[in-house]
Amino acid sequence: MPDNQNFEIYKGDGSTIKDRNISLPEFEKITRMENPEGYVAAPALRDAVNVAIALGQPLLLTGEPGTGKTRLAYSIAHELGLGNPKVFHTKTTSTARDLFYRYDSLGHFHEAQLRDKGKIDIREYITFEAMGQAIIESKDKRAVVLIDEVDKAPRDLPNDILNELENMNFLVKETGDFFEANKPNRPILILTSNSEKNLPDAFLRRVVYYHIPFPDKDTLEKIISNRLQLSDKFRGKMLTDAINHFMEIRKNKGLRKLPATAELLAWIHILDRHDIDIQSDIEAQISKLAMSYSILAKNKEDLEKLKRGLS
Amino acid sequence: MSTELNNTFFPFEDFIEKLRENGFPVGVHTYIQVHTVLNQLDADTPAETLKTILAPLFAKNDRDQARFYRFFDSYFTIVEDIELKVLGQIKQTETTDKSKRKSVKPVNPSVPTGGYSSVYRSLFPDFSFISSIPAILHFWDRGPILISAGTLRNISLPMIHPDTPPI
Repeated sequence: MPDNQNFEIYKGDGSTIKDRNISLPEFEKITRMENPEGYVAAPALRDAVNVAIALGQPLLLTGEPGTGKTRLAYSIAHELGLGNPKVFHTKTTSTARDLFYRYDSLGHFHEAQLRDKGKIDIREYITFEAMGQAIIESKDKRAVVLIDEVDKAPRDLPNDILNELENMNFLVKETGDFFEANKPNRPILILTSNSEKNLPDAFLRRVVYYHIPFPDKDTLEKIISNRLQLSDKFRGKMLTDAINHFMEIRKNKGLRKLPATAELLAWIHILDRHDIDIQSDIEAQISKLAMSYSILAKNKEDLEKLKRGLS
Repeated sequence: MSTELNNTFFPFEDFIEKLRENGFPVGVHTYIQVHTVLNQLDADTPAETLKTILAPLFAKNDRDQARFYRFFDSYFTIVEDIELKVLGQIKQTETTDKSKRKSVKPVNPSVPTGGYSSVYRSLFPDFSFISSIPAILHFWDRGPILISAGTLRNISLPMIHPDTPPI
């Protein structure tokens, strides 16, 4: 029987780790996964960012999930010394106003019943969101704003923010307050899309666009080196073999959902952590490799395809 | 009324016009964007970099981006071919002239610059109003040279269909 004791913490047979005389290992964070210093932008992506900055226009990014669309905003903010980006996670119910501010009408109404109306300041019920914060703070500093998965929003949203994006201003209807970005500190706007919905032409005309292709082998190796602290043993041939195996899986296994960079990083981390050698024909190694495919496959059918490839 | 000639030109005007003919959305805004970006670049920016700098201004989806790259490559390949032919002609002329002139600087036909010639060509997009003025090409080892306007006017670029496979 293969000995996967370190890997198989949970047995699923009612036995406890105490019975098996092992201890629950501490959670080991996959280091540098979130660190913007480890981000590697391809030259074409770098050019697109610089074009967007030069023109003061939003940069719209598309690409497979896991290709680094969202992380790019962190990388830009890091390299430009602007702290963390201000992030807006688009929802299917998001409206144009939500990008700039939210008005707690229910809270306002509730308080109005309990307190003297004259003492209520409506501004207490206004919360500024990513774009609103960046425009207001532009008085003193510049910021990177990330509007993540903009295609999730109803089609009205992109159409409704055309003027605001161009002029970088907005009006709080409830108070009549008008805010406009300080021109030299115009926010740097990054939008991501999973291309689930087509965006309106009028919106597309106002953005700089880049599609992030899936990285090649060399770039993947660089990304892995920057993001993971691999053991000395795993560097070199074992890593190259693993990347080749991953590319082979993407290309020839006919998976319904292709694993992307994020899955690759998690998979490589597990391979290294559990000394799994792709080339090994030892049964225990093959068994571990089969288990590791759970990271790469996103549905039952794909997982079975991958495991069949080992038999 | 001013008698001065219009001396305002947009770099890459011809290239952009060809993009428009191939279905890329091009407006006044696009010219301004291109002009703004090019103004910030060094004159010796390689064509490969120009390609990835200009693509985000014209592409609006992943298919557009791939199509732009193919179009850019084919456009500059054609311009480069013309440069090579012109250089060959110059070399021939110089060989003929050798008997008349004692010292002639050698020409290296392997170093034409697509980027420069394209810019110069863009400066004279409509040869009809300067029909007597030939276009200018620039070579690293020779400086600007003049060639027949007709040679450049006859360039025809293939229409790039969205499904054309990469070159």
